[in-house]
Amino acid sequence: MSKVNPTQEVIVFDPEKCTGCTYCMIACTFKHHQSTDFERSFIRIIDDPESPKVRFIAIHCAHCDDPYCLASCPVEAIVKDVESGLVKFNTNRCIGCMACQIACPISNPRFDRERRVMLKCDFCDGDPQCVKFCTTGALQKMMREEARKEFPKRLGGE
Amino acid sequence: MKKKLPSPVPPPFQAAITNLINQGQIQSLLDFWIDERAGLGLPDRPPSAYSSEKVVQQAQEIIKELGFDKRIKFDWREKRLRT
Amino acid sequence: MSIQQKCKTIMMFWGCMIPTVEPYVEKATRYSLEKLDVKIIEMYEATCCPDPEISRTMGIDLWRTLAGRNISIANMSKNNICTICNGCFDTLTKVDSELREDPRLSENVNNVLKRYGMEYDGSSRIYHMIELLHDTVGVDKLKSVIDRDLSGLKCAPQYGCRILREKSDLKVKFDRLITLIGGEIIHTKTERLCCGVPAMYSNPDFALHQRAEVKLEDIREAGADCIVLFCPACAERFERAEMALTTEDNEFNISVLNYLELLALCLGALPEEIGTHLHRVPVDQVVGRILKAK
Ligand code: SF4
Ligand code: SF4
Repeated sequence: MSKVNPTQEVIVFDPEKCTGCTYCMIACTFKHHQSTDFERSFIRIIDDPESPKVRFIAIHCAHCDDPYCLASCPVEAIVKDVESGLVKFNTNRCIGCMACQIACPISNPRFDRERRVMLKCDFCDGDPQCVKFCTTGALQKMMREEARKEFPKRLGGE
Repeated sequence: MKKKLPSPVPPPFQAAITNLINQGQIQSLLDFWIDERAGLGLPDRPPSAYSSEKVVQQAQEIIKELGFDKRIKFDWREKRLRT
Repeated sequence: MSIQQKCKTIMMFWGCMIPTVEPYVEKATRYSLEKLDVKIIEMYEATCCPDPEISRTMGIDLWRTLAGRNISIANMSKNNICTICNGCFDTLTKVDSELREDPRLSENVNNVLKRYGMEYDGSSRIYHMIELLHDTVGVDKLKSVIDRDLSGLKCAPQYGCRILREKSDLKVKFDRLITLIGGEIIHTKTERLCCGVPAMYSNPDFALHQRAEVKLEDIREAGADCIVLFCPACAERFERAEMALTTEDNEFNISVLNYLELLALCLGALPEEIGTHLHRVPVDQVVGRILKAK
């Protein structure tokens, strides 16, 4: 695993806390589209089909260390910022081919019909609205290194 | 003539924001409930901005001072968001 | 014992929903707190908390300033605040901790407030009604003053998202308050699930069918006699959803009661005195059972 800048932050989700209120999606949609139609949100809260109890999965960009989306883009519209670790889309270059959506393991980049380019989470310049507005604290900002240690535990490992 | 832009508040949020500016509260107090409150022996108007014009005015001054009214394009004469 | 020692005082932040659409909860609260020797101090100068969703999304500065202004009313009169609504509780506690932790934010708020002779100083504690009852009044006192109990009434608790916040022990205390007055807690698969309020304005069909309906069906299936809650927004959502979802062959008539109404009844209130007839979804059957219990 490559060494990353220790100040890099990521969003982490705790399914034990989420109540499925969807306000994270509304806050995200409002920030990026000035709309409340949560279908356009860059974070999606969906039912966990494998859980007998009500439980949710959050689908949001991980700003991967080695982004598949970036590797797949034919016009170099995607860059990974070395300092912040954020994976950014350049809408000026994007041709809307959707290769990034196919390549991303969680199909996170989405084609925006209005702007006719691919869009995805931009971490709201360091103040992600989904985290800020989460009603329960299920979404949190965490240092990337810390998240790396925390996650295997949540998945039942070490 | 310069065309005035509509309010950026999304339609589903407009009623609440309009109430907040006009009444200092996002929820309106209907006459029906004023009567029912009195029937229960409660003050007919709740003891807050609902019963004090002065409090509402103060909230409106704060709204103006922070520039919220301009940002969301509130029309003070019409008492509603610009459409 | 002097009156001061015997009575506890609390500044009530009623919020917008209880006084305007659920005044029966306000009445039951006033009745109960009087019986429990808690003196209510009114916050006459209060505005909307304002709500932690729409108002906060549209203007975070205004949200923070108005909330800071509300808290400052208690600060200046040296009172603690109590609120029943989960939304008000969330706004007031969030802003209170923001202003305590960040001097720049409190300075901004105070710069606005000072022209009205007001000042936020962070000296008040903000209680959820669950804490006021459980911790301040106390479990023993509550147990000793109730006239009748719920005699095993099957209660499905609706906690509400905002008290299920990280490290919050309000859920445990809520459960204890129910059992304390003789209710049997019915845990359901969907008890964590949101009632649908945050999505209701923007995505009403989703809020109705994917949230309220899923919960109501689950609660009905679990055999609960009623839903018990504190949050007036959840209450309003459930009752409206029941009306919207009821058809000839699929009837929803699950009573939705605020804990404070149950408490008032246990403390001897008459149903008409606290206005239980004003519920959209009738609560007569449940109330009748409580009155029969001795
Ligand atoms: S869009 Fe997908 S592949 Fe690209 S950084 Fe985000 S999670 Fe990784
Ligand atoms: S805001 Fe928080 S609790 Fe609500 S759906 Fe999003 S992650 Fe879940």
